[in-house]
This record gives sequence, C-alpha cells and structure tokens, in this order.
Amino acid sequence: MRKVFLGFSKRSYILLTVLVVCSVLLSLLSYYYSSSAAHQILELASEDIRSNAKIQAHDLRSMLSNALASVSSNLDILSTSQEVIDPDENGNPLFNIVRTSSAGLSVEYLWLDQNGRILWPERSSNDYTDSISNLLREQFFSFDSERGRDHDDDISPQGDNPFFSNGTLDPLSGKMYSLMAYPVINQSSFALSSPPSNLHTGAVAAAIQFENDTSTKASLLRTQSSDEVKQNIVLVVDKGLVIFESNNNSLIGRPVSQYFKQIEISESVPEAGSDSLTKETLLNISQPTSWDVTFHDQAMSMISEPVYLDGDQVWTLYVLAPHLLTHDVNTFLELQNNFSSITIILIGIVAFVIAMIILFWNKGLEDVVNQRTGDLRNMNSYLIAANEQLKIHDLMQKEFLNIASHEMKTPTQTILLHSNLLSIDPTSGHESIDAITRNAIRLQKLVNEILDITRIESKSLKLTTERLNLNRIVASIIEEYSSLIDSGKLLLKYDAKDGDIHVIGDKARITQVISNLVDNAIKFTKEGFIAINIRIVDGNFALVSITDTGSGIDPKVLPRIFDKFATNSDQGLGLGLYISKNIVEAHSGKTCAHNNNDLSNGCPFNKYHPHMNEGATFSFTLRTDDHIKQ
Amino acid sequence: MVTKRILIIDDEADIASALKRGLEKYGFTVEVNNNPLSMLSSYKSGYYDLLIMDIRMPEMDGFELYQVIRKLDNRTKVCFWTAFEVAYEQLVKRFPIMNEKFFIKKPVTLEDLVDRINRISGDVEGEKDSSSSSSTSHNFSPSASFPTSV
Repeated sequence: MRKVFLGFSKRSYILLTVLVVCSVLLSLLSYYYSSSAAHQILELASEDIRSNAKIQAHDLRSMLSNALASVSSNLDILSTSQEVIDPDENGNPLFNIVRTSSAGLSVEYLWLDQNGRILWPERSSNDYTDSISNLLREQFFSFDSERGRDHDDDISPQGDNPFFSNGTLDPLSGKMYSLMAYPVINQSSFALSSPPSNLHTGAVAAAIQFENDTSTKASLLRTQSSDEVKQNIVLVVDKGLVIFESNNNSLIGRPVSQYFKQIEISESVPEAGSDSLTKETLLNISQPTSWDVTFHDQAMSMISEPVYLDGDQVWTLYVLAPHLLTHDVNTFLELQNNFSSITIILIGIVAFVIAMIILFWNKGLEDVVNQRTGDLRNMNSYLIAANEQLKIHDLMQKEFLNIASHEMKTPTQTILLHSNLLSIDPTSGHESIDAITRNAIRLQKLVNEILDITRIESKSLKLTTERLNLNRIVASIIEEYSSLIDSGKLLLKYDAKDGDIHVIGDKARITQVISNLVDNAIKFTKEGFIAINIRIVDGNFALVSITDTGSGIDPKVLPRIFDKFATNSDQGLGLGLYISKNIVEAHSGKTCAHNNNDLSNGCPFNKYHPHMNEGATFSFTLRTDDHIKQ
Repeated sequence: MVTKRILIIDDEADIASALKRGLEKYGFTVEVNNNPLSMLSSYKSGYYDLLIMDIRMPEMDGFELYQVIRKLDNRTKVCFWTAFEVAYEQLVKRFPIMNEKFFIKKPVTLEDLVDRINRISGDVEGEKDSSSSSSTSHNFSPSASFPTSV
C-alpha cells in the first residue's frame, strides 16, 4: 500500500510540486521579462527625451551665440565708424539702422560721448536708459569724487576694453539685462598723443534683454518650444550664476545655485564631459554636458551648453527635460506589469485548481479502482474459498460414497453369508435368521437416512404435525434403548423437571431426533450414564438435552458436528446429526453441542450447562404448545 | 490332508461368526477375533496359514494391523477384505508390492470366498505374476490344497 496524505498519493504530490515550481518559475521568468522590457522601453523613452533636449539646447545655444555675435558685430562696426568717432559728424543714422536688427533679442543701443553724455537714444528720458547709461558710465568713465557724478564736466574717459556685464534686473519689465559695451577710440589721435589711456571719445553699448512675452515678437526661448520640448525648463545663467532668462518667468533673477539646491545628480550620460559629478561642476560648465538628475522627485535629463562670445563664456544654457512622457510610459508599463502579474497569478490559480480537480478526480478514480481491485480480490478469495469448498465437497462426496458403500455392503455381506450358511445347512438355526433380520433392519435404517438426506437437500422434508407430549416420547425411547444397553455399565436417566411439556410437531421426526442423539451418546459412552432432561426455557421453548459421560466430541469435529458426514465413529454415515438438526430447524428450533468440560458455555441457549470432566451434551429447542397457541 | 488354519479379524460379529461356521463347513480350521488389539495379544506366530482381516476396524485399521503382524510373523499369508470402494487404491498406495489377489471385495458368497482362499493358498504374497508362484513359494506349502466343496 502506498503512503498517502490527505487522500493523495505520493506521486500526486510530486506532480503538484512540479506544477507549482513550474508556475513559480514561469511567473518569475515572465516578471523578469516584462521588467526588463519595461526598463528598456523606459531607457528608449528617456533617450528620446534626452536627445530632444540636447537638440533643443544645441539649437538655443547656436541662436544665442549668433544673436550675441550679431550685437557684438554691430557694436564693433559702430565703435569703429567715422560717424561715431568724429564728434563733428552725425552718428545717429547708423544707430537707427542697427536698432532694427535685434536678432531675437531685445537690444537697446546706447551711445555716450567722451563726457558720458547720452548721444543715443535721442529721447533718453526714461529709467531704463538712465540705468543702462549709468552702468556704461561706471565701466568707461571716472568721476570726480568731490563733485559727484551728476556733473558731467567732471567725468573723464577711463578704460578701453569692451566688456559684457553680468545681468541686472530691470524693475520695470522684470527681465534681466546685460550690457555689451565697446569704447569708441579715435585711432588717429591715439597715434599722435599720449597718454595711451583715457583715449576713448565715448562708448557704444547694447543692453541685451530677452524679449518679453507681451511683445510682438515671441521670446527666443519660447519660439523653440515644440510639443516634444515645451515642458522643458530652459535657463540662461550669466557669469554671476544668476538666472538671466528662463521660460519660467518666476526664476528670472534668482541665483541658480539656490534653484539647483533641490537637484540630485543620478548619473551622467556616457558622453558627459565631466568625471566628477558635483553641483560645482554643474555650475561651471565649459563644454556641452548632460546629466540625469532628480529634481523635486522628478527624473529629468539636464543638458547644459556654454554660450561663448568672442571666445569668452558669457552665459550658460541649461535645459531641464523632465521625463514626463517616460513617467506615462512607466505608469503604462506598471499597469502592464500588474496586469501581467495578475494574469500570471490567475493562470497559476487556475492551473492549481485544475491540478487539484485532476488530482481529486484521479483520487476518485484511484479509489474506484482500489475498490474494484478490492472487490476483485474479495471475489478471488471468495472463489478460492468456494473452490476449496468444492474440493472439500468433492472429497466428502467421495468419502460419502466410500462410507455409504461400506455401510451398505457390510450388512449385505452378513446377510449373504448367513443365507449361504442356511442354504448349505437349513437346520443351522436361529442365529443366522436373527443376524439376517438385524442386518436387514440396519440396511433399512441406512436407506431411510439416505432418503431423509435427499428430502432435506431437495427441501421436500414434510412434517405431519400434531400436539405431542414430549415426556411420553422420551419415556418410550428410554424404554426402547434400555433393553439394548448393558445396564450394568451404562445408565439411561430421564428427568422431567417441569412436568408434562407439550409441543406441536411431527411425532416420528421428533422421536427420530431424540433417538439419533441417544444412539449417538450410546455409541461414544462405554460406561457411566446418559441423562435426558426436558425443561421450559425463555417461557415458550422446550429445551431437550442429552448429556453423557462418554469420550466427548473431538475438538476438530466439534465446529462441524452437525454437518454432513461429520463423524468420528467407525460406524454409520455421519448423517444422523445433520438430519436431526434439519428436523429441529424445520420445527423452528435450534440445536447445539458442547463438551461438558467446556467452561465457555458453547451452547448459548442451554443455561443448564453440566460442568463435568467427561462426556458431551447435545441440546435442541422446540416451541411449546403454549407459544403456538399465543 | 493337512487342515489349513485360518484367522479371521473383523469387528462385525455377525460376519465373523458366519465366516467361521461357513469355512469350517469347507474343512478349514477357523479362529475368529472381533478386536485387532486382543487378537495381537493372543497371536501365535507361524501358527496360521492365512489371516483374513477387515480394513475398517475400531482402534486399529487393517493396514496398521498388517504392519504389526509382519513384524511378528512374515510367513503367514494375509488377505484383506473390505466393503470400502477405495480401499484397494489405498492398499496399493501403502503397499505397492501387494497383489490384487490378496484383496477381496465385500460382498462375496461363501463359495466364491473359498475359491479365492484356495487360489491364494497356491500363491506367494507380494508377487503379482502368478506363474512364478509355485517355484518361489517358501512361506506357504504349495501342495496344501483347500477343499472347494463339502
């Protein structure tokens, strides 16, 4: 028998385990695959954003450089033109020409004479012009400290290098501006006189602002916004690390380091120029660089490009490209992942349920097969037993024929021999005639037994019932047998303890039963007594018991003492007890037999068990007349 | 003529008595015993010419008795007779050398029995070939004749 747990066989558990392991492996594989795919998609999306941002940064940087170069070129032309250098000529028409070419930037040109007086613009009375002209004066003119800068007479030219100022916030527009200035130097006078300094005869400058949203021209930074990059944050940072311009107006004028405080650098993109990825390097860009950063918990790509003017880095351009699309893709991929996980779990559950159903079904089949196998085994055992029974029956049949043959031929032989004797000598006397008579009776008895067996086997045993006095029947049997036994050795006793007992039955058959039992007792009892008792038991039954002091019943024969051919005697067919039992049962009674030394009370209905060291007791019951009447 | 002595052992008293009387009428000297054990206790070795024994007897069957007798006396011829159907098969199984001639099936008439006894008297027990019987007989006198009729 295989070991089972919860009704499943070991094989089923192995199958289930393999299934579970396969499911888990497939789930892991699937999860790994989708994670890997998601990561790759994320990478591709990020790369897309990053490259768009790079293109945007590159384009913007080019445009800014070009615009600054254009302004620088204008100033160079102005500062070296004769109309501006010679105070006697009118330079205003030139300024009128250059003011129109702003190249995407809002540029306000300024021209101061050698005393710091504003020559251009002609209408100079506004705060912006004042502030930029002051800025220019600070760079190119010295003041008499005692008289103050309000007195133009005390201003003298100073400094002769072009410069590009850091950004200054214009309170009116809220925009930053820078001043790009060139001194106006008369080369001819420079050649003739000294000293070499303070030789400029004035200065030209351009105040550079990014155009305002409200202006007719769109901001340079915003004109670049396409759908792919419009969410990007663009910063133009000046050398003072102040945000000069941004597409987010609220950032303008703020120190970039303050703004970048929240930035965490995730990693540099492979082509990044810098090895040390710190915020310092972030603020000191000298070549195009890109980073992946986290800003306010948002993954971004940060592209930075320096903006050069005549070899000097004047601005730094930053493009912050949030991975917003990536975020969507990520969300989508997470959904996809969750869906995959749920699908895998569902498939796992379904597989498990199906496996369990199959296992239960299998177990059911196994149970049925086991049951059928058990049935077949039982059937087989039954057939083997039946076969054994048939063999025994066959053997018994042979034995019966053998014994029947012996039992018939023995009296026949006796009759034959005595007949021969009589024929040889008819005067040989009564002895032969008696012997012939005895053996003829013996033959008749044998024939009757065989006939009874035939009737019992064919269920045609018929009873002629009448009301009987059991005591009288027993008395007559006692009388009959007393004459046949050696009364010196064997005593036949009869005790009617409960007086006359009447039963309804077949007189001849009941007489036959008691005679058989007495006959049987006599056969095995050489000396002592044979006692017949009749009692009322359980109210409605007559118990007839025949107790002897004989050799008892062989324990091997006892279990089948009432079966056919069960005998230990050398005489008779072994049918007497079988016939007796069947007659009793035909009267609705029971029979039993036990040895008197049997302490286990082998006869359940005979409570008057005579405990003796020798002999046996045969008992049977018959329903009393009273019971039948009721 | 020497009277042949025959011992009959059969638990059926009626048969034994009839045989004794019948065979005596044919001139044999016959002794009868109904019990194998009492017969053994009074057995006279070499005294009898022939033993006729029943097979089914109380306390000791014919085969057992034969084995005991052969230990006491290996000269006397022994003949079985029985009413059993299968007794001869059992006999041959236990004593393969036994000749069928020494096995008599009941019932048999007195005349046939005497005839069988006479034929047995000329044979040597255990030899199935009757032609060799006269030359090899040493236990039972071949010249001894049994009367077949009165």
